[in-house]
Amino acid sequence: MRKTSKWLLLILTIIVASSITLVACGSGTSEDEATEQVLRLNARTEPPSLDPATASDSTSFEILRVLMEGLVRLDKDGKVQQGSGMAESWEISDDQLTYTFYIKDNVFWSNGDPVTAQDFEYAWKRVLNPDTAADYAYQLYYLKNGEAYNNGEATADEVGVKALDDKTLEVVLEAPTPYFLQLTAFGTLYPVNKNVVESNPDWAADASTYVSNGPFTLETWEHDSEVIVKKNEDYWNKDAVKLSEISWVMVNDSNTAYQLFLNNEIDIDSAPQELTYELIQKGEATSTPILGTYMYVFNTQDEIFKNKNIRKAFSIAIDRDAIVNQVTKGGQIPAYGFVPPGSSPDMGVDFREYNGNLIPDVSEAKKYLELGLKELGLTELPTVTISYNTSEGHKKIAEAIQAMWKQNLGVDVELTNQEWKVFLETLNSGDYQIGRHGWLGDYMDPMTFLDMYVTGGRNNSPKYSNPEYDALIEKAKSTADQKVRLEALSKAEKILLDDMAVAPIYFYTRVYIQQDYVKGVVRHGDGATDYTWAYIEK
Amino acid sequence: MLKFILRRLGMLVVTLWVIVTLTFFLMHAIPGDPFSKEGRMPEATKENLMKYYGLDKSLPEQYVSYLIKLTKFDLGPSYFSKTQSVNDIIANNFPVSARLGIQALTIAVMFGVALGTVAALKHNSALDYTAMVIAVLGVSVPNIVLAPLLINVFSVKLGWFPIARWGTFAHTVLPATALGVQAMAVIARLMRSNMLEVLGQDYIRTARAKGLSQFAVVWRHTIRNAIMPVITILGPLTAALLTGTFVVEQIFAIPGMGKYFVKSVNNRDYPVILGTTIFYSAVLVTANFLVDVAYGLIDPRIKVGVRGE
Repeated sequence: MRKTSKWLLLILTIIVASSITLVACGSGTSEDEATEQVLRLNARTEPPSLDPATASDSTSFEILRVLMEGLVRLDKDGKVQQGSGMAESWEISDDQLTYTFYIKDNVFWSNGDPVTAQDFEYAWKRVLNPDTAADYAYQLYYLKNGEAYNNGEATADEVGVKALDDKTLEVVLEAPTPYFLQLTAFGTLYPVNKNVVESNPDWAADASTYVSNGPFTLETWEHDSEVIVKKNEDYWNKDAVKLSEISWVMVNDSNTAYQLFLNNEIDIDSAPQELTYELIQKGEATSTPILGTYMYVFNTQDEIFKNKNIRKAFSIAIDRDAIVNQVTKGGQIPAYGFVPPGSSPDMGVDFREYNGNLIPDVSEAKKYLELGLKELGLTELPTVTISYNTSEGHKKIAEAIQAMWKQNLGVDVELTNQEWKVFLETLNSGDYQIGRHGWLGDYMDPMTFLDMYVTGGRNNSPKYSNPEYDALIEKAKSTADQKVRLEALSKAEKILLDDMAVAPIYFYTRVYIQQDYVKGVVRHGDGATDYTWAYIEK
Repeated sequence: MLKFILRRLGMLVVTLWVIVTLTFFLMHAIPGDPFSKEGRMPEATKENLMKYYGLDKSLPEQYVSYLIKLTKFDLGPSYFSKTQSVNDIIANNFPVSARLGIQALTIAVMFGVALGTVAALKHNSALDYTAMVIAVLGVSVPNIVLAPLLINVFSVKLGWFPIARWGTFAHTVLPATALGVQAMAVIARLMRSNMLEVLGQDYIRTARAKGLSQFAVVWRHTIRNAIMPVITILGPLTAALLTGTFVVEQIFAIPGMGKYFVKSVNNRDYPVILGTTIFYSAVLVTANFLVDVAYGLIDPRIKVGVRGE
């Protein structure tokens, strides 16, 4: 038996020794060096594409925003300024259809080529080219024949974008679009270097072949791990850029990311869901509104919800303040209208303030319900069903609303949840009664919300149709006169909420945590973040 | 032996073909569309995408063209990542998962066999109970709990290891541990029960009676016999650990393959679903093959490649 203990001792020694070796290999975290102008961010996931033509998600666009630059770069207040981007100036024709952009002389690609009007023409036609199969091609449907080219019904030459010479770009639009200048700052409308793309179609897949024209250049792209960009010393406005480097790690687990933040390894991140409320209360997280609406849509083809008064009753019976204050608790704004605040920087007034509160008081819910029941010839409502995509957050909201409808309307409500892609099909096919939906604006104008619900609109999941509404949207789309647009869109929103095809619930916010020494980060109202002017001050 | 290897290779091809076929038609049968988003894209754009990826063709046509590409080891593009093909994803991410897997496997086998052996030798002693409590804990505490716990204790509180991410050896310690503990526990329990069984056999008594040292009895006669079931489970275990696991990779932010098994299904990224499934199957079949070879090496009674009646 003595032999056993010897043998045992051996094993134990191995165990202890190996754990000591493992432990000894642990390295401390590197200390930050004093005021190094390096910003460390968390992209959460791999950016699916850094090619402006095929990018269609916020992660890719966040990185693209510092790599590339469009004709315009929105300023710190989200406004369009002449000379803020690749274009020195522009002229707009009286009919608001033709834009002539004059591109700066001192703008270059990171490989030394000058940025030309041809690059823009090439880039935009590339987005619309059916062979490119760009998700976001519709962002360029504003161009004359843009949609037709994407559909295969027109040729590239018929598209309304043309380089008159190396530095002059002529753009012809399909219809007056007062927010078109703003759109030229958007990722899909960035230029690409024509020569580079033509000689290497995979140029955007690797840092070594990536050519950009913005404040930063792509230094490293380790897939699923990290993206690093370095200051572009050839950028026309390089004096305004203080950071020497920005890195994006890809940490998707929110608790891990939060630990990294606490350990000073990440400078900015979104707040972890479970801690959002607490962090906002403690002043450690900041909540700012973004252009988005969380809503329930009513299937207007459903036997019960085809009735307007029933829809109204259900919408009114939602206590929006309670949802925001007791359920979501992320600083969201209760929605008493459909279009979120901050949607109309070009209209002179805030659309939301202008149109006011469009949802009647809860006390009126019963009245509408009775009216609706009478119209339907029913004495009481059958059980109705809320459908949502599987997620803890959506579930909590659905449960709260279920209780509110029981209490305020005496209706039994069932909940069903589906996996995301299945749910999207359910919404599109109209196989639901009440469905969860969320909408983030594509650009800063009420139109990005309101044109969804024209008859046959592709995102019109309630299958709502009202000729009067359609006419108002059409009217607003045919003019650049902001007064006329404001009137038309304001009336349209009132009609939409009088018909209550959708029940807006709250307006989205983004909640972020940021180290105190990070300054100058620009957060636009549409949810986009621009790190061009950020800096570190310790 | 050569004949055996060839036969197994043939079986591998057939197995993979069956798996590809089943996966192909099953995944197209799940509802949902790879290009759907909260905001729908125009019909024309969707048609362009379908055409671009060959999804406008009929299913049998897509199936045949996939098989043809597969024979050239081309696993196709990813619909989601516009910059990486499925081959790229596997080439970039498999080495990471494999390294982590090998480390986890080493921990699992080393500590698992040691714990199990000690527990069996010291049957019903305090040591046995301690080892088995560790094993039961290891089996029952899921990764999703263990991993954050490890981070909290060893990274946040003690500061011994980086919190997450990938790069140095130090980065691999906690994830490899989190990944290996469960397997370790399984092996320890298996090892213990087999050891106990073998230790009760007549030939062990004979060996002792011959006057063999305790070491020789345990090493040559007991472990060698008791380890066979452990070798058996090593096949699937190796495949699972080497190809990465979603939870551990997610928590430690490791650029491995595990997330693609899950993400590809959520995104209906068909080529990635197929690619990862084929790859996993190939690793599994290979691992099982190696296990069969190992049988022959450890137990001379088993003759690999000979069809015994």
